[in-house]
Amino acid sequence: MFSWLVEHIVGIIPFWVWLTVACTAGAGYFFAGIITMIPFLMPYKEPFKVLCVIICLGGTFMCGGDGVTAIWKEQVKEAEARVAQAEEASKNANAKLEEERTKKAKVRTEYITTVKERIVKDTQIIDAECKVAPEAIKDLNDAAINPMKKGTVSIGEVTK
Amino acid sequence: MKRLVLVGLILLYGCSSVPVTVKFPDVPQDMLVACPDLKLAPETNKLSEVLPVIADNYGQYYTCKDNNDSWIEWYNNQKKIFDSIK
Repeated sequence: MFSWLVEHIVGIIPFWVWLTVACTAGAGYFFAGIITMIPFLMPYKEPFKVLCVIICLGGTFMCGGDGVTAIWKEQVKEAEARVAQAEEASKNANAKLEEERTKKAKVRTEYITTVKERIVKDTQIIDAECKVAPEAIKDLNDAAINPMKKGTVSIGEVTK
Repeated sequence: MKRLVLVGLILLYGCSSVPVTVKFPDVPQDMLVACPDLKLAPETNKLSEVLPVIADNYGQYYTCKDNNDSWIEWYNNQKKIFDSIK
């Protein structure tokens, strides 16, 4: 709420307003003597001067604040530009990576398919002189099982 | 006292941080797929029926290896980009 107040109410007041306020109050301080020459204003000379000093200081503070805000806004703009640039670079890097992955996947699939086709072609030669023992299949499957998965480890003892 | 607090708040307003946030980069969706379990060989005495399963498992390994390599590459690239913002 407070940030909103400062940003939207104080923030929209331009620099020249604060400068005018500070200068007017400064001038008011120096011309207090002349103004208070009017008899009925005479008793208010000192309070008027104090008020001028306070307003002048406030105006000067806000002038400085406005300058700082302008610097911050510029830095925010630069940071936003850098972030946008980084997001673009990130997207490009992802697109490049995806393209590479698609190419590799295609090559891999083609390669495995070729090997499997060769196995099919060589079926008779492979099976001619080789019979796989059931123990070999069991051992192979045991090796393929993930031991970290719950309820899957049931390997028998190794016999010589 | 209340006025002092208000003045303090006004002065502290300058301590607020720069309102620029960096979005966490997206990763290609196909990299978020977990590696499946290896295929098991059928109960057979024919080597020709076992070999395709082994070949598939080898292929699966390289798919997972590529996924892992991609994650490393993605991380390194994104870190480089992120560091360049500072």
